Amino acid sequence: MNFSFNDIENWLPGYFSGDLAEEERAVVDTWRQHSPENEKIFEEARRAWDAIPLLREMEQFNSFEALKKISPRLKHSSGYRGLTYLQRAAAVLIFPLLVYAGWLTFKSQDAVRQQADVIWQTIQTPPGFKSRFQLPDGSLVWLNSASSVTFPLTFADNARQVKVTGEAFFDVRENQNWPFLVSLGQINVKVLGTRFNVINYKNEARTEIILESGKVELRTETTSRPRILAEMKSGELARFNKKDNSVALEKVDTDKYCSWINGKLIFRDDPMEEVVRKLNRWFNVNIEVADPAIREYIYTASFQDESLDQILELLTISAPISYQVIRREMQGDQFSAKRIILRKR
Amino acid sequence: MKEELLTDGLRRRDKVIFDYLFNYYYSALCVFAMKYIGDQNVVEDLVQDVFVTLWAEGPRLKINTSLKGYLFTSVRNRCLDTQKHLQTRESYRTQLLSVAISPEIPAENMLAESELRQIIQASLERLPPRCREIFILNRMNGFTNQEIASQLGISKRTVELQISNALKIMRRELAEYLPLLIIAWLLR
Repeated sequence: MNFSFNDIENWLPGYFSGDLAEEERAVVDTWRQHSPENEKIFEEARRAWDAIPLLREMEQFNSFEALKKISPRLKHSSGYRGLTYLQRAAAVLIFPLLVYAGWLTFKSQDAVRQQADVIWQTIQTPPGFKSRFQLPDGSLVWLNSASSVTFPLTFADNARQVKVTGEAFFDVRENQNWPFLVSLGQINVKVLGTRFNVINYKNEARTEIILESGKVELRTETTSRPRILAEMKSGELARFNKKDNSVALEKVDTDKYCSWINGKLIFRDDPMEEVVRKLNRWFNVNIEVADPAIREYIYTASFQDESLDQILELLTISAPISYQVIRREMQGDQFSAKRIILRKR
Repeated sequence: MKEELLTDGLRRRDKVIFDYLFNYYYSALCVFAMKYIGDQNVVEDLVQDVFVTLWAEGPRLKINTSLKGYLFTSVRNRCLDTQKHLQTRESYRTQLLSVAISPEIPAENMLAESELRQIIQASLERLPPRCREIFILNRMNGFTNQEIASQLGISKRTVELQISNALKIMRRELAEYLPLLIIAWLLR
């Protein structure tokens, strides 16, 4: 018997499915034994034949369900809570941390004469950028995305006064006799020398102060006779309620709030809403949550030098979410921020 | 995703990285374990245990080859341990199988579900439309040639030819990845 190579390969689906008659099967087997090449073709064809059923078999196993099942065991099995130290110890990778210079808007024509002879200047960051600079007294300021700090060209003798909108971290040079005052609208922070973070975005209802080390005093903004609202100790977060001028203090992991100055984005048991808020500001994008169920997802993660695409991939593979990127469009004379829509898968 | 990013994430017990890995490899590891142990429930418990251990390792995690290698090897070792406790004929059969495949197959030859799906989709796209339709009806939806013939109003012979044709093209398209489809071979 002599069969062309072409003929036999046509028979293989029948061979694999069992539809081939006994005699024909024997022909295929003879052909296989005829040369190693034939055997190779046979094996390749068999694997190609099995590829789709193999995928089907994999699909029977639902990883999301399984993950839900084991999650309680993960929390108990280890020091899930005690991560701070480990995360701090984790290698610090290089990240185009803080973009200095260039775009720093330092326009003298914008300088406003607010008091008799004090010239104020403002440094601001555009959305998606961060900055670091020094104040006239040598204190350091890290300015987060879409934020601004206003301060006098030279500080007055009785106080170092600055104003903040958005988010800023201060490392204040210590001077017991020269108080440092951070004005956050209705409330201000009085310091002598310490490191702390303030969050005071105009479009958000909350004002927060996170104290990394030292002590600060929170006072009402009135210039004549400021009232002390609270004294903060290191490791505390103060949440100011703009409506009733009250302050709530809470012990927190300050790393989570202050790590942005090192280019790290940290989430600890944060709901999706908070994750989205931070990502929007960090990357200057506009992420929308289309499905309310997604808002309840809780994330613990830290990102150092990952791109937005990588972070989105992680977020969406680690939970049943899909995302869709909407192209930027012209709005007036500028492009809108990139829109990303999250949906339940 | 970069390997370093993943292992670093595991070492500091980053839950998002863990979840990512879990979802990425879970189903492939289960199918792999099914070759050793035929019980779906046992297999799922076993693979889940491997991940719980991985999480518990945390900063102590040591990986000699690759994460993929680590996971597949851990699952295989657990399967072999489990088999020792099973005294059935079934386990005798699988033990023979495991001897045949155990240490020689590098885990790099295993595919995660999403990787396999991508490869299959890419090669299916190379098929002519009609040919692809018929191949999918047969391999994916499990219709017989006769059922496909009557559904599409064509002869059974045409269906057979289209399927043969599809398999020829798929074989060549997949050839590059065929060592990777090793799990498929283990199905037998």
